[in-house]
Amino acid sequence: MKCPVCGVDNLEGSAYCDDCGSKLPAAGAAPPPQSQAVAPPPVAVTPTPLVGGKLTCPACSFENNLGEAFCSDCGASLTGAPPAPVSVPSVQQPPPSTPGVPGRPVAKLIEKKTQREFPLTADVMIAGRQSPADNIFPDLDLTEVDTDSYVSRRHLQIIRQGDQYLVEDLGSSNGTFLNEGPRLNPGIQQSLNNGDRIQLGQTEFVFVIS
Amino acid sequence: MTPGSEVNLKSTLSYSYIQVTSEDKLVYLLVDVLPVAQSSLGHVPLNLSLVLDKSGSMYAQEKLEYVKKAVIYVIDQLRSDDISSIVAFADRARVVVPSQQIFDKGGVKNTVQRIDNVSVGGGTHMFKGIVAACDEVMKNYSPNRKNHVILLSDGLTVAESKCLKKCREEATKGISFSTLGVGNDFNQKLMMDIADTTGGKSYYIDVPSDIPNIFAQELKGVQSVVVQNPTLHLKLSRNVQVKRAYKVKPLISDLGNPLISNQVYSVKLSDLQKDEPQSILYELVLPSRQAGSYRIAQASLEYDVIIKGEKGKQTTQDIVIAYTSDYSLTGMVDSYVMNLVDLVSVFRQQTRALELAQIGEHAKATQLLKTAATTLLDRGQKDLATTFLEEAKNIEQGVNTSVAGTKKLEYGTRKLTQMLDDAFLPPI
Repeated sequence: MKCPVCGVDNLEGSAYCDDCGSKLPAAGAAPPPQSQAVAPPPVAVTPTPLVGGKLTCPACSFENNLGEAFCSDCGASLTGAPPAPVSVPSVQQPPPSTPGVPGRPVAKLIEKKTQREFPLTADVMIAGRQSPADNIFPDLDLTEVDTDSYVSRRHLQIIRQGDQYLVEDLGSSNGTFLNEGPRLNPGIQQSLNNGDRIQLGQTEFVFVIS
Repeated sequence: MTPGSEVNLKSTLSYSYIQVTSEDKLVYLLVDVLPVAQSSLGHVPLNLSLVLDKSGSMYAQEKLEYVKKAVIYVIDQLRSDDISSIVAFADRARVVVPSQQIFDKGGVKNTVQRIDNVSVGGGTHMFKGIVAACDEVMKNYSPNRKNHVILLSDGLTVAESKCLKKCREEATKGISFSTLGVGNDFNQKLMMDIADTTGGKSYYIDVPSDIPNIFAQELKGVQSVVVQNPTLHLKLSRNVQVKRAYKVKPLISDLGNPLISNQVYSVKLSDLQKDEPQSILYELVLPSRQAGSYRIAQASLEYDVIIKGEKGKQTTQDIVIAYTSDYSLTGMVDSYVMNLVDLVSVFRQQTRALELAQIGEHAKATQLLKTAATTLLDRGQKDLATTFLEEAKNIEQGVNTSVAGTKKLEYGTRKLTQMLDDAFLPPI
């Protein structure tokens, strides 16, 4: 993973750049472009062979003492338990369309984890966290889907210009990232296409236009 | 966890699921060592020595008067089976109260009141004080006691490296050292290193009137030791590596390169005090693997419970991660661990910035401090962020980093993780 600020290569999963200390975009949240091609076949669960009172690891052939749940050498499971859920990454299905103005495309943001939909009903919509104390009630209130409060109160806005949608970061604390790219510069508008992934802090949305 | 044990181990990964790809991955592993509250456990008797700076500067701002108050408080709080001694130093060291069980508390308090009359010169020769204190502790040394030295100084000592070396040597025999630095003139790196490497604590006292409080805090801690000589071993599965490791609680410190042999990464912790968990944050590099669950490491804590006469007790826990291709799973992060990662990154940037500033890399040092300040502001740590920015400005303008600023910066940063317990402050 290249640091968007200084370009230094960091291990995938790093939260901060090793060199310049900048926060790196969250890892593992978005599929790489050729995701389906790289999905490996599920590991066949072979019964663990018993050799002379030893448990032979199916992955590395290391002989473990009886009773071990994991290989003492490579850490693979010895209990024959099925591997962790392996599922082919789901293709982002176009969600069921919501009724809108006839003849006018309906755009919305869909939160990835909860699949909650946020229709874009006005020409300019601000997304953020609600703060009644400060009298901030964003058009797209993300308070409920952003359980860790990484989204700023006024995080970004989505602007409609004819058939074109634009996204603009409003100087958020944790940044906005489009399709795993570098952090968007605040105040600069970027055009959105169907299926684009927009990340706000730790929360990810898919932009869908139908 | 073994039922009825004195300690629980809790391990949490930043990501419980990681993506199956061909690349190495980094995950953060937090291991919390949690003392079990056991009122029935009794207490570990102390073998304590107080080492007090009596150099000329201690007479300024009534520092010595506050020290006297603090020491008298300590004497009042000692239990009948505790052993203690008091050493004063300046150019020379003098044993003011020899190692003993104090029966006549009034008499000893009078001696402390008259400490001004103890003639030891006016300089700061902490090494001599340390040697005298260790001699006193060794007179009544016992593995069944908490053998501990509390070191107070307000100045730069001569022979710094000798001080650290001596303390480390004594630590191998089982003596721990806590250090109390008063004012702006002591060497915080030396004081922190002594405490960090011997299992003690380091305190920064910026106003002398805080001296009694800090003594009380430190004494309360050593009096509530429940588990001694804890060592945390992390046995890594093949091809798993530790990239870096930090102690994150109670204070943040870099563990450097601890002993690693046979894929076991061992960290010596300080004696566990009641109600004070200790936590380690590891950065682990994981190899690429096929989908499935794997044990990436085993954490085990080895420790003694002296009051029960139990040695070499152990509690072990498997750390298991799942490799998967399901993006809805790999997108999940543990927010508590990631909060600690944020704070450690601030610590790391601050440490590196000060190092870079020393070798003249001003631009990079400034940039690191500014980046860290942003994270601090997000966390609502306005005061510390301001200190960071002031230091960045000093470095940028080529001004020497201010002594007081640097101390506030370093001690403040180390304490950052404590706020996670008080009130978690989400980014604004």
